[in-house]
Amino acid sequence: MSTSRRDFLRGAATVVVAAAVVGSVRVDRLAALDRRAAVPRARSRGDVAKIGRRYLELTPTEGTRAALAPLLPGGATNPNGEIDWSVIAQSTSDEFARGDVVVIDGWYLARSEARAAAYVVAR
Amino acid sequence: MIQIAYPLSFGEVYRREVRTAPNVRTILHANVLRLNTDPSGTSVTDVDVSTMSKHQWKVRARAFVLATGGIEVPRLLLASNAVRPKGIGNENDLVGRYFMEHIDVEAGFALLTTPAKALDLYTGFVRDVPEDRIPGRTFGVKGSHILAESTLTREGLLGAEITLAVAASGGRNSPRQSQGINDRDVLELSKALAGTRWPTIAYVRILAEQSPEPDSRVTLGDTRDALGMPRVELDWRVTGDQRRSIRRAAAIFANELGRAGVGRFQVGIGGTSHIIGADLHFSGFRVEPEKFDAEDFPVGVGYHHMGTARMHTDPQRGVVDEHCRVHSTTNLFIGGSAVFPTSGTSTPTFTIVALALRLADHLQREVLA
Repeated sequence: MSTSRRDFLRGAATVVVAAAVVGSVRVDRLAALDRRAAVPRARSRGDVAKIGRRYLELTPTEGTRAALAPLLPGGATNPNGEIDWSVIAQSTSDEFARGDVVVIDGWYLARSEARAAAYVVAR
Repeated sequence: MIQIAYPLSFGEVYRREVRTAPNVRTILHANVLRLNTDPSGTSVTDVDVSTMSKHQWKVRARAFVLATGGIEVPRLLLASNAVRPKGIGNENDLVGRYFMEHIDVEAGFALLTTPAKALDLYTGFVRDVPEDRIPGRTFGVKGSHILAESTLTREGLLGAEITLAVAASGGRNSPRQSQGINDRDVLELSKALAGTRWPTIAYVRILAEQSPEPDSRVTLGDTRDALGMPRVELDWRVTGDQRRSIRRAAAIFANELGRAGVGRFQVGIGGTSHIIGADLHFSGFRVEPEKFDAEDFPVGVGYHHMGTARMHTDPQRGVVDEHCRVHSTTNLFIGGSAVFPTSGTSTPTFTIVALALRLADHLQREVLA
């Protein structure tokens, strides 16, 4: 093929690329994140307890601290009934790796972090 | 990694080169109405061309390359039915079938441990690189997450490309969500786990492969356009298996974020949307868990039309052969993504370019020599 024909084809292909890009421009527009919000509204603070309550709704058989405590990683609770979140944090990766995951309102959470949140609100 | 070209005015950038090329003649405003063949239907002799003002003429050539895209290619082949009633190349009822798109799905939101600034490569077209051939112009470089080939094979999945659009987490970048666990709740969880709220929220899109399905097809309709050409009808099918593959891709991504310790993903397929009237940035998103729909979620498109004149060495299974020649003709070739037998996940242009260069070499060496 002559050089001019090859370059011509390359140029034509560029036009096709351009057409293909048009449909995806919205991602580019998403990069403009510093613009003023179109729908301003108040934001409530998040709450770990909310995760716990939703977990208990989905898993009522684990509805008490007595039920939850033995299911948490060793050392995750103390005699005062508090969660040691650093212990939970150490186990989440392994739980995801073995598929020990709970899905709450679409969120994929490690089972123990959801249980720990439940422990916070359970009695 | 994918290189993306920005919109380019071909007529401006390449005008001089095209005008001075001894082997290129460009005719603008020329709409091909039909391909005409010899009485046997095996050789295209000329094409009928018309301007919108109905000035009409014929173009004759030794070989023809139809490069009009995955919808117009079958339209012209099917409409060129003077000698072959089913249309040129359609002896086995394949022209127009196997239409494929790239399914674009709003998959949900992720919270990530990595600052947004470090993720700009994965957000679409934000990284500009100088275009050496055209001074002053740039092209984009896009990084994506894709499912590994081994995963696709092991789980029998179609390909999926996962793209992130990132921003600082919390505040006005939170998507609107009135029910269920939202990003602020999970940010508090991250603070409990890691002592700090994860800094980044990412809007997650999945661009997914479609399998070739014969009932997904382009046909000719009953109405005609201003030039008398039959309009097309598109029966685009999205199958349950294709949806299952997208759901599984999202689940795998969610698991991998957690396993790698880099975040959590709210898979919101079917319930993630832009707020109508809002611009496309983070405050314009809504998550509605009550609308999550794993079976019948809405899908968008990548504007990539593929597969309607698919390639196969067996005429019973493909419209064109390995040289992009329509099997039942001696001198009609197809350029573009219409010949793709499968769609993959990446933007199709580089494959189109590669096939075009290969076809040009073939034409020069084997057909026009």
